[in-house]
Amino acid sequence: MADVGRHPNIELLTLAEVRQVSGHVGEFKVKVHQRARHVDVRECTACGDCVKVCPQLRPDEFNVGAAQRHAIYQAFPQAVPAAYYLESADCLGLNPIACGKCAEACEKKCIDLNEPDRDLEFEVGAIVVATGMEAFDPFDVREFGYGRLPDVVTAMEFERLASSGGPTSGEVVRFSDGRRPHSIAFVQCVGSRCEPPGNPYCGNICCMNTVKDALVLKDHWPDIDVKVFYIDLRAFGKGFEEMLRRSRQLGVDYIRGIPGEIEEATDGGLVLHVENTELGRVEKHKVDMVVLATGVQPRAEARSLQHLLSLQLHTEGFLLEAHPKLQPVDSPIRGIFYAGCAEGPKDIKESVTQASAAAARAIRLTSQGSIPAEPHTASVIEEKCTACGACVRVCPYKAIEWEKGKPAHVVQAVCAGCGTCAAECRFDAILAHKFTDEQLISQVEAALADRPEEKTLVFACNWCSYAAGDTAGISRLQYPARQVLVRTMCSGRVDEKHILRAFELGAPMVLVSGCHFADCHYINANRQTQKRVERLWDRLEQWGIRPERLHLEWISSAQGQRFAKTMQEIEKHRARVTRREIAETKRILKEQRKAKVRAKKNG
Amino acid sequence: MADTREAASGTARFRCLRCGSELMLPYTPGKIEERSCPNCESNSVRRLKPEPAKPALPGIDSRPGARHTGE
Repeated sequence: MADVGRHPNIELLTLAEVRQVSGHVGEFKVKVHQRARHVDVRECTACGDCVKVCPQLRPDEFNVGAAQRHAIYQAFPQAVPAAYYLESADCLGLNPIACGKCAEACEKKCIDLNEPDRDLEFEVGAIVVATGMEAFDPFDVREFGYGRLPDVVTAMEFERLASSGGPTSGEVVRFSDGRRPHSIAFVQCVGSRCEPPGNPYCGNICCMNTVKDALVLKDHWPDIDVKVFYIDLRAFGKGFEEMLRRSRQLGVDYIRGIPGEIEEATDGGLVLHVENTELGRVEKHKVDMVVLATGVQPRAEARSLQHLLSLQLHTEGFLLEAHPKLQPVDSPIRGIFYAGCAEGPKDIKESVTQASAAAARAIRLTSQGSIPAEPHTASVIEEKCTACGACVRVCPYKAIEWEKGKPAHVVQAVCAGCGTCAAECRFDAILAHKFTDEQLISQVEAALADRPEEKTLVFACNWCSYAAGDTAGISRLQYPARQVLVRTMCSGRVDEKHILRAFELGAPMVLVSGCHFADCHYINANRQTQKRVERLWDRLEQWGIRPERLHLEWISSAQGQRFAKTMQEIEKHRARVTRREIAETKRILKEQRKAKVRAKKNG
Repeated sequence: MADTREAASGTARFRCLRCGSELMLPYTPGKIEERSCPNCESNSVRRLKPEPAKPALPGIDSRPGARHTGE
C-alpha cells in the first residue's frame, strides 16, 4: 500500500466512487465523484492533535464496532495516504452547530471544513476491477445465536481481538465479561456450502484462517482448549497441510460435524449440540467462546458495478471472467481486468497473483499503441442501414455507435464478434465477418442437400454446445449420427432466416444450442437467442407449423452426456415428423416467402 | 386477464416441447430467464399464452409426442 502511495506513476484517489464509464478499450472515459477529506494529505503528518480534541465518538468500522473512533480519524494504522480524514456525516463542525476544534488544534492548518466534494474525469486505456468482497453476516443463521449470545463472534471480530493493534491490544477476551476464555470452538462453513440465507459455494479462505487462528491461540495461550467443528478441511495450498498438522500436534481438536444449535449454558458458557459424523453420535460440547468462520460473498455494490461496466455476474454474484481457464483475469469486455475477490473468493496469495497478472495484461494492452481487432467482428453496410437502432439495443458490449438518423457504426476494437446484431437486423445491414448470412445459409443448404428428412440441423455455439459435442465424442458417448452441426461463435448469431431456411429445405427438426446463461461467452448475447426462438415458436404456430420441431438447449462444454441425451431425445421427435408434414411445411414457408416479397414490392 | 393473474402470482403456465409436460414456472414479464423442464431438463420450455392453440394442420395433432399418419 505504501509503495502504491509513493509511486510516481500511480494517482491514488481515496473516498472516491466511479459514477460513469463510457468509451471503450484504449479510450475509456471515467467520471469519478470524490468526497471531501477536509484534510490536506500533503501537509498532514498524522500527529493526532486533531483526534485528541474531537468530541464525537462513533463505532470503529475497522475494529468491527469493538472500539470507538472520532469523527476525524485514520481508518487503520497502515492506511494510505498516512493522513487523517474527517467524516462529514459525523462531524459537528459541518453541521449547523459549529465545532471546529480539530481545525483550531491543527498547528499546520491543514484542516479545511469548507472543502467541497469533487467531480473528476479521466481518460484511461484499461480498467482493473479490484472491489473485493464482504464477509457473510451470520445474524440470520439463528441456530448459532450470533447477535443474541455475546460470546458468539465472527472470525473477523476474533481477528481484531487477537490483533496487537486491535481494541484489546491482542488480548482475546469474551464480550460478556471481559475475561479470557479457557475454551474456544470454531464453527466452519458458516454461510458457505449451505442453503439460504447462506451461500452455496465454498468461501475458500475460512479453513486456513481458522487453522491460523488456532495456531495463534496455541502459540500465545497453550492452555486454551481449541475445538474446530467442520464438514471437511480444505488445506490445499502450499504449506497449508503442514500448518494443519502443526495445529493438531499442538492439541487443536478437529471434530467432523457442524453444530445444529448453540445455546447458553446455565453457568454462563456456551453449549454446542453437534452430530459427530466420524463417531456417528450426537455430542454436547461446552466452551467459553464460539468463533463463527463466516464465508465470503460478493459486495452489495457488485450489481451496480456490473451495470456500470457492462459486465456479467456469475450465478453466485461474483463478476464473470472471459474464460475460467484461459482468461481468468480478463472480463468479457476488452480492456477491463479483474484482481482479487471481485471475481471470486480467494486468499491473499491468489489475489496478489491475479493482481500482478491483471496489471501485466493492462500494461501489455496499453503499451502496444494499437489494438488488434477480432477477425470475426461485425460491420454495418451503410446503404442498407435504416438507423433503427435495434443493433445498438442488443449489443452486449456497447460496441455500436449510433445517432438518430445516421447509419450505425461498429467500433472494431470493442466488438467481440457474437453476431447478435447481425441476427437482429431486419434489413440485413450488418455483416458478421466469417459468419455472414450467405456463409451460414450455404452450410445449411450443404447439410440438407441429401435426404434432409433424415436429419436434424443443429446450430451450436463455438464455446459451449459445439465443445460439448466434442466432449461427447471424446467420452465415446453414443448418440444418433443424424444431426448435422452448424457452428456459430454465439447462439445469438442464429437468425430466424437460418432456421426457416432449414425447414424450407426439408429439415424435420432444428436445434439451437448455446451456453447456459451464466456461462455465455458474450456477456448475455444468448438472452437474445431465447427471445428470438420464443418469437419464432409463436410465428411457426401461427403459420401452422408445430413449434415442437424447433428446440432450444443450453449445454456447457463439460456436458457431453447432456449433449448426447439431447441428441437422442431430438432423434425421437425427428422420427415422428412425417414426409407429409415436411412437405406441408415447405409449402407454407414458400407461401410466406412469396407474401413477403409481395409486401416488399408494395412498399 | 390471464396475463394479469400470472404477473400477480409470479408464475406462468409453460409447456415442455420435448416431453410435453405442462408446468407452472416462475415468470416475470419482460425478464429473460434460463428455464428448464423439471421432468426432462430440456430448455425448450414455451410459455403458454392464454388462448388455446388451434390444430396445426388438418389431420395433424399438434400435441407433442403425437404420432402422425398420412405419409
